[in-house]
Amino acid sequence: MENSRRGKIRKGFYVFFAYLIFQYVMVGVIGVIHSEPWPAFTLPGFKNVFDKGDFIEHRVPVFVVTGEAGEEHILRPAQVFRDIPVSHHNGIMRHQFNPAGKSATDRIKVMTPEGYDWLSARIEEEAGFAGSDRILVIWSDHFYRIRGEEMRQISSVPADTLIVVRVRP
Amino acid sequence: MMRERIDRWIFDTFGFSAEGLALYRVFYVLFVLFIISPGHKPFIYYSVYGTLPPDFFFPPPGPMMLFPDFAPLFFLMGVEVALVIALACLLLGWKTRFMSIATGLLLLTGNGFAYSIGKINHDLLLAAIPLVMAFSNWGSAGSLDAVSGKKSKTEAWPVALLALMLGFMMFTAGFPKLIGGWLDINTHATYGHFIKHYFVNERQDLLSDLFLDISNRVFWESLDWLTLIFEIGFIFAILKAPVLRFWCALAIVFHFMVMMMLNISFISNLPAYSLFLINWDVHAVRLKGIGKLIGKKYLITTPVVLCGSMVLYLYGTPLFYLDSLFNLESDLMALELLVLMLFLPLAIYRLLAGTVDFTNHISAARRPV
Repeated sequence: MENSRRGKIRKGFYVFFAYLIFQYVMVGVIGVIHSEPWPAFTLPGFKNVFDKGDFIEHRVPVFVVTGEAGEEHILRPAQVFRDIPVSHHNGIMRHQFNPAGKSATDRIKVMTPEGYDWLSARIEEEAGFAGSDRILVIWSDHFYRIRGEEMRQISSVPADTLIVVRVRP
Repeated sequence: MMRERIDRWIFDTFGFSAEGLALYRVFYVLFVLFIISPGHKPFIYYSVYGTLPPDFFFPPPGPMMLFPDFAPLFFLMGVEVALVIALACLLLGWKTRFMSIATGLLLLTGNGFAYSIGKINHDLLLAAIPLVMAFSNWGSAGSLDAVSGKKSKTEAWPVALLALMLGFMMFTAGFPKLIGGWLDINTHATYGHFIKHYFVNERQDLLSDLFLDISNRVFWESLDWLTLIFEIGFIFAILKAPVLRFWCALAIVFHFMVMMMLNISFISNLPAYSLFLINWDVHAVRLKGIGKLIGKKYLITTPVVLCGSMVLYLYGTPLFYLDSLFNLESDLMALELLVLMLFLPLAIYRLLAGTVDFTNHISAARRPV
């Protein structure tokens, strides 16, 4: 009786070990095509090695709204998504406000009235005004150069822009 | 022969007494209630996702794709409240197996919605622990179940299963580094991550300034190699309990150093490391009083635990107030700093004890019979 029970548990371990390997392969495959699956028994690999010598390049997004008088206001994602845990901000921007995922000629994100109003209200709360009928998400490449114990931002080049608009009825 | 070895590993390597498992159960619940603090940022804050419009729903591939939108606010608040109640019942050991499974499923449900915004936190073990330990009979002592005569023989295989999960997950952290070039002596991956976090993300607290002064290439390259050996080595360390204990101590030192250098903490794995790092049986003998508090004084303990848990849910852990005492510029919390600092002496002790044991073992093996 005890042996049979042990046998079942042992077989359960074999199956689970095979599943661990299978799901890891799937994480690799699906992660490239779509995004990282969940739940999965994996930890992040941080495989980047940053081998560009003294230069560091980092792509940074900001929200930009224009007021009625033409004045611009720039907001960081941390301001717009203040209520959401900080660790999620990069993920939101990368997956939901990334022009790289759109076609070259159509870098527009159309939001539902509910979604656009939510974003607009958050921006108004932070900036003092909601802006016109569109919100820009500008991604800039920041280049830094390391010099001893200092690192200076040597340039910031706008790289891509996503236009966020409300869906038309 | 092979089957016997596998059986020995599954059923005999990680055995605990009923009292040892009970103490670990109490530790797990207190860790989640006081450190993770359900219902509050930054770890378990499900209700905020119920306020987001459907445009932000971006479920990861998996079961969350079955949902069209975030769950409503009342549901996610309900998950938080139910989680706190399940944890309180688990602390008391009332219907322990059911409450363990409920805790795990509630964590998975809430996390599923929280991770449907584009970012996954890799804290699956926190939910896996109660789901797996439910079958270890960790409610056989120091519990209301034990008082009412529901005692079952403890099982070692769930602990072995958690060891397998932990070892494999750590391996998946190391393997991409192996193929990504971390061992290339011409690149310094740790240095690159450090510089990016220091300057770009402005994580400049604790010892980060000290590391900025280090330009020795051998130092930075050795960190790359040590990180990789440590992470990939985990899958082999799980084969022997003393080696896994040593490796879990290394893990705490590793996370502590990452925090000191990069100002990033990863404390959600601490309950998993603690299961193997701490000798729960020995401490259970010393802390018999905890079992009695639940077992014999349950008329007092039960309402205190239930009310205390709800107060923690409503106001958050008092440890959050540490942030007002320490002036950290990065997004690291003083609470995270404190927790890893508390674990560090234990980890160092385990590393020293493990090294002495290993040396004695080698000396004994070389001694002529």
